[in-house]
Parts: sequence; structure tokens; C-alpha cells
Amino acid sequence: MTMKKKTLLVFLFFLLAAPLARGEGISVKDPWVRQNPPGTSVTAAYMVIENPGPDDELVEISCGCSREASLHVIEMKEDSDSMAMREVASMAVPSGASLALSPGGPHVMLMGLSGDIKESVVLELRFRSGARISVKAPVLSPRAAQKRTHPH
Amino acid sequence: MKRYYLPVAALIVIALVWISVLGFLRSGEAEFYGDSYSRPAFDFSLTDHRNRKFSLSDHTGKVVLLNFGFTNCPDICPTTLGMLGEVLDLVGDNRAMAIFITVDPERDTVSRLGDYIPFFHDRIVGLTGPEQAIKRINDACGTLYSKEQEASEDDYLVIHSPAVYLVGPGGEILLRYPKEKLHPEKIADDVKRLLL
Ligand SMILES: [Cu+2]
Repeated sequence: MTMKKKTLLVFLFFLLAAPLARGEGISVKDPWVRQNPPGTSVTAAYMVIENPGPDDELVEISCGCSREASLHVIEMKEDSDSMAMREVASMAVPSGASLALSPGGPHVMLMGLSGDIKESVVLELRFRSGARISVKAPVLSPRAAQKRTHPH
Repeated sequence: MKRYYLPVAALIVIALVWISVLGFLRSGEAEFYGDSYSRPAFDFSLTDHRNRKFSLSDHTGKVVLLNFGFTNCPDICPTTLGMLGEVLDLVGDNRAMAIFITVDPERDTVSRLGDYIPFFHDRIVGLTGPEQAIKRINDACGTLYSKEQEASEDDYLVIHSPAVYLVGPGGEILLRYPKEKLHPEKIADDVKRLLL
């Protein structure tokens, strides 16, 4: 075998083995929750959902910290230069792709907080495939949130 | 052929030098990062989150970053307020100020704003007042707001402009930062330049 062919085989091996090595499952990276300002009982949670496996869909999210947790997308109203949030029943997480929930974009909205949130909250995610993931999301103050989303 | 080589090379070098000199001169008068949005000077009076009267005309000579929102807003308003707090820190000049005008005066009373605003920054001013006054400011900025229909009586959201409007030292709206331009360092650079 020539050197070139060997390199190619090794490359192919890693390409095929990569999903197996990663456990093939959906995973959640960098979850965080915005600390609710005093006097308010709504906030939002953010994270990156990575899917090395087949196409899947986030269908439900819940948090013991709030009465309601829903999936929201943001839409611009072109006619009035204003913006609205719209609740969606699910969010697609295509195979080999990631879904980023971030400030000003798709997010998890937490309504009816049972009290001021501190330190961290636990979010439960359920996917169409049946996969369930539980993540601990740290609660970030406005300054910490700025640092997270706009690192210098 | 060879005789022309040197003069031609010299001409090219001279041309390149001129191009870079012109480029340098033009960069000195570089455009602002915000979208230019010249709208005539305007004024309004509202009540701030410390229950004092606030008139825009009392702040002539300052650069004011104006933004609309409501305290029950879970995502975009707190994101923008955090960003504005960072802009104020980066500018570090008390001739720069940020104001948050509620589009939900029904629920956003002075005391509610008093709890909410200082959480973000001690130099952000929260403003509330009569519906009519707030509508006029939205008009002046060329935007609209409306209560969301489907939600319940007390859990409603308000559709509003996510943009930040920059009011120059003369009281006119000079620049507009749409949602995708809410970048603290770049906004701070515009503000610093206007305060020079
Ligand atoms: Cu939302």
C-alpha cells in the first residue's frame, strides 16, 4: 500500500469512528440563565444543543424554578421596526448540527418564577427521539452575562 | 524595452503611495458604526425611576442612548440594558447617558422601575409617564409598539423596537443601532467621538 492510501484509510477510519467516540447522543453545552431583575418573575435560559446523531427535535423543556417554560423565537416586524417573540412547539436539531439558544435569538422563556433565582437552576429537556437531558444552568448577573456573550 | 522599466516602476510606486495617503485621509473621517438616522431635535418630559422629572432638553450637550422596553420582557430588554451598562463603563464620561423608556406604563410604575433599573447600572435612567407622551417619543424615533393580543390580562408582552437610538449633543437623533448592531465597543467608540 502506498503512503497516500494509508493516510486515506486512517482518515476514513477516524471519520467513521468519530460519532461513535462521541457517544452519538445529543448534548448540551454552556447552559446559563439570566438572573431575573428585582420585582420581575420572568427570565430566559440559553445553551447550545449539539447533535452528532440523526435528526432530532427539542419538544419540551421544563424547570422546577418556574410555572411555565416555553420555546421562543424572535421575529422582526418589518413594517414598524419592532420585534416580537413567538412561542413554538418544537425546535429542530438537525443531524450533525447544533442549535444555539442565545440572547436576542431563539431562547427558553421562563415565566412565573417561584422566587428570585440564585446560583443555578436545573432544566429538563425532552427530545422527539425520546432522549431526555437534565442540565444545571448557572444564574448570571447582567455583567456576567455580558462577559459570557461578548468576551473581550 | 528595458529603458521604460524604471520610469514605469516609479510611477506605480507613486500611484500606490497616493492611494494609501488618500485612504488614510478618508479613514480619518470614517463613518459612524451606527446607521445614520438624522431626525430633527425633539424634547419630552417623563418621570424617572427615582421619581424626578426628566426632560431631554435638560441634557443638551450630552450623548443620550435611548431604548424602549418593559420590565416583564424576558430576553431582549435585559440583554440591551446589560449592553448599555457596558457602553457606559467603556465610555467612562458622565456626559454619556442611557435611558430606558417603558412601553408598558400601565405596569411599569416609578417604584417598579426603581427596583428594576439599578440592577443593570447606576447610570441608566428608567422613564415612565402618560401613554400619549410615550407614543410621541416612539413616533419621533419612527417606531411603533403594541400589546401582544393573545396573552392574558396581566401576563401580556409588548411588541416594541429593539433598536438603540443615539441622541446627539444638540438634541437630534443622529444614529440608530438595529438589533444586529448592539455591539458595546463599537457603540462606545461612536459616543466617544461625539463627545470629543
Ligand atoms: Cu421569550
